[in-house]
Amino acid sequence: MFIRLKSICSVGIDIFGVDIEINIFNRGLPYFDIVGLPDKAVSESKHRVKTAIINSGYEFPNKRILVNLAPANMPKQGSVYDFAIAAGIIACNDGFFQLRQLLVNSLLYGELSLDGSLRYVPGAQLLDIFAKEQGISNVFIPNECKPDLAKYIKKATYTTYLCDNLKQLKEPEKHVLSVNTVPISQQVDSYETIDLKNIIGNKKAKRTLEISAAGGHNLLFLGSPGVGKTTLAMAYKHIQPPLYSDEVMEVDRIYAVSKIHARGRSGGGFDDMNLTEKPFRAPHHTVSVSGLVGGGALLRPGEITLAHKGVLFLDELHEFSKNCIEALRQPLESDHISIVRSGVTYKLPCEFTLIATSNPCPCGFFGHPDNKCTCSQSQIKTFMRKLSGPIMDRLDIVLTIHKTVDHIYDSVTSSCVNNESSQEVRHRVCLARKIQNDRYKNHNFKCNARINIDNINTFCILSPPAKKYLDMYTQNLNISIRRYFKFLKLAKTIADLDCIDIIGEEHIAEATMLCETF
Amino acid sequence: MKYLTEYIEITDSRYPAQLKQINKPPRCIYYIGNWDSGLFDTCVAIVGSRKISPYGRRCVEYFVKDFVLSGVTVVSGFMYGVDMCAHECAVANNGKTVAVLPHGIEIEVSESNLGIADNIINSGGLLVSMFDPFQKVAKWTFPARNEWVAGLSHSSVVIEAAKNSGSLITAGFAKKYNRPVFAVPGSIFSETSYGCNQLISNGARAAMISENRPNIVSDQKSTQISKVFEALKTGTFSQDELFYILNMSYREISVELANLLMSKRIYESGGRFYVY
Repeated sequence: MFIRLKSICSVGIDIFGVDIEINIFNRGLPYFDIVGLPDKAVSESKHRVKTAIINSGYEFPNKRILVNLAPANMPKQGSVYDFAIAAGIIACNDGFFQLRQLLVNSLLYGELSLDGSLRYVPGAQLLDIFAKEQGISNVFIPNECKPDLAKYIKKATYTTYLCDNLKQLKEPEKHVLSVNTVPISQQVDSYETIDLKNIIGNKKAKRTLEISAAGGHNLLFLGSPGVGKTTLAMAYKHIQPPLYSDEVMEVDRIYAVSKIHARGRSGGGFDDMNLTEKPFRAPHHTVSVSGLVGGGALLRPGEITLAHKGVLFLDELHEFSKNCIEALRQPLESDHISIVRSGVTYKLPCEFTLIATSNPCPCGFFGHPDNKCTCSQSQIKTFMRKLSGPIMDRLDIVLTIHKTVDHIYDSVTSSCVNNESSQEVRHRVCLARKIQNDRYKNHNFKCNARINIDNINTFCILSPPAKKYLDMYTQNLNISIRRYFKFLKLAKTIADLDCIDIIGEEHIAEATMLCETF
Repeated sequence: MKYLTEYIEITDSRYPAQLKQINKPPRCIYYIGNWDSGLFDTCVAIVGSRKISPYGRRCVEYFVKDFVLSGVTVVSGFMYGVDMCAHECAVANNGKTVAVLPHGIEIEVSESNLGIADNIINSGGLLVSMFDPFQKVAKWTFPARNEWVAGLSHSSVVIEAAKNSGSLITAGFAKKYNRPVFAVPGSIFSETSYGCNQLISNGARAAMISENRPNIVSDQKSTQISKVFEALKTGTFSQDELFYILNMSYREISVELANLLMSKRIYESGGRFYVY
């Protein structure tokens, strides 16, 4: 007796189908084996499957059983094939003809407990994508996986069967997930809230956060230790616009795959992922290159992919290893990273906004008005060389944060009552983003920072005085073409924040103030 | 590119007279460039810390322009910081400068300094060294060279000096050989002005803006008074500080700063704005 069912496996963020072929021989000694490059967890499946089937009251065939997980040369990992194997074996018993028919065009996914009940495995969201692509009619998942898949139920092209226990396979039609199910929204409270109104002074820095969030511009804060760079960057989290509906699916998929790779170990920030918000990843500076860009045999996504459509925050950029900084070259240039594994090149997406903080020199006090820097010339040169290259060109905004000078401290603190809250700023940011989304709906870029050279003149329309102003500025101060385009994009974002269509002189003026020399 | 090195001995009539006055004047001056005795008629040494601040840079530019206009030769020590800034300024303003190297004449100048070395020679200046031609840089070569800088110059100006700066040694030698010493006062909070302030309190003359040449940037172009510009004339500020001091909107300040930058009346460094 032969039966073939389907499941999935993920490499990078691509999903491949796995065919589970079960052959029950009529002759031969009792024997149960799994082939197809199974890892230890998959090999141990056979014990779980046999025990679960017997404990659920079914008959376990006392014959030679061979399970093949195709394609045979792709390594199989994890316990997700338990359900498929068990269902296939049950269906081969007499009296289960209808179940066999049902299972032929189905995806099954789930882990078994020894008593026959089904356990949660991460990654149910991926079934949705695969089922739609391949036109599969039925999807069987454990009940505990319902929250993952319920989000997509409204547009499902397949029937979803939820099972608690293998026993329910006797009457699968009783366990169909209704299309009218309301998805459970994963509302997680962010525990690290820093509201902009509670940050003293730093008016320009707050404004640059707003501009960066509105247009997706990469940003670097320089400054001596203790001036508030990290605090400002943490506040950035709360002025981000929400994820748009087409982005939600992409981000969910990446997180599902990461959860699979995390193999049940919690942490890594996946659990508190709120899918209405843009991802905010803040890897510690001791991260390895493979932790940052991804790697491993089945291509676990790295921090940059987890930051896709969101923000990558590199605190203390100067402390990251040179290899890590170099590895960011391709992602910053082309919004994806190519990783080669066994001769095959995979592309992982990583379209993020980079926020970084750094000291200006090893001791941190270069440029301080009291000239406290104790670094030698060559130390400063080496320090700067590490940061430049891949990162510098891609930064639209470079700003030095200064310590609040004594003689204006009082006026700064007293004017704090007028500080805007994060919510007010976020409102403006969301409006500006919406304008950009509408404007670029027919293009593959969705924010001002990512306008490509071909389209920049179409979208960044300057008023005649603004054009004259920018040309004069560029000429007088010997500005390179690259900086010129940066100014244009920044000015466009500033104009969008004002809800004005045409870029005016004041927008150009403000844009030119955003990129300091150092 | 190998330079042609030559030398003159103390017995030569071209040997600068002022240098003979020091303790043990060097027997031989090795040099690269075109020797012109007129170079040593009036020399002023510009010395200072290796860590030049934007303030220091402004001071060097101000004083060097003055000296060069009056035909004075700028003497300095060819070290990064104040020395290099002085040499660069002199060359940029079509003046002459003499660089006293802290090593032998045959020791190769470091790559990053080849450009300025060329410029000094091509503008009629000299690279000189009083050490053995193959003497490498060492801790003791700097004070030795400082004595010669002081000896060659009719007066010395210390731009910026920290507490234990080598330029204070140069000032010491100048005083010893009865040459006037000027020091540029600076912020009492600035570490690189500590030495200068100390020199002044111990009797050196304070180098200030001369009444004959006040520090006016060509104001003919603008007829409007810029509040931001007036504020920056009193000291250096960041954009935030300007916002809190002046009663203007953030955007108005941005516009004025951009205009001032564009018309080159101010420049920006490390987030702070300075008047030229």
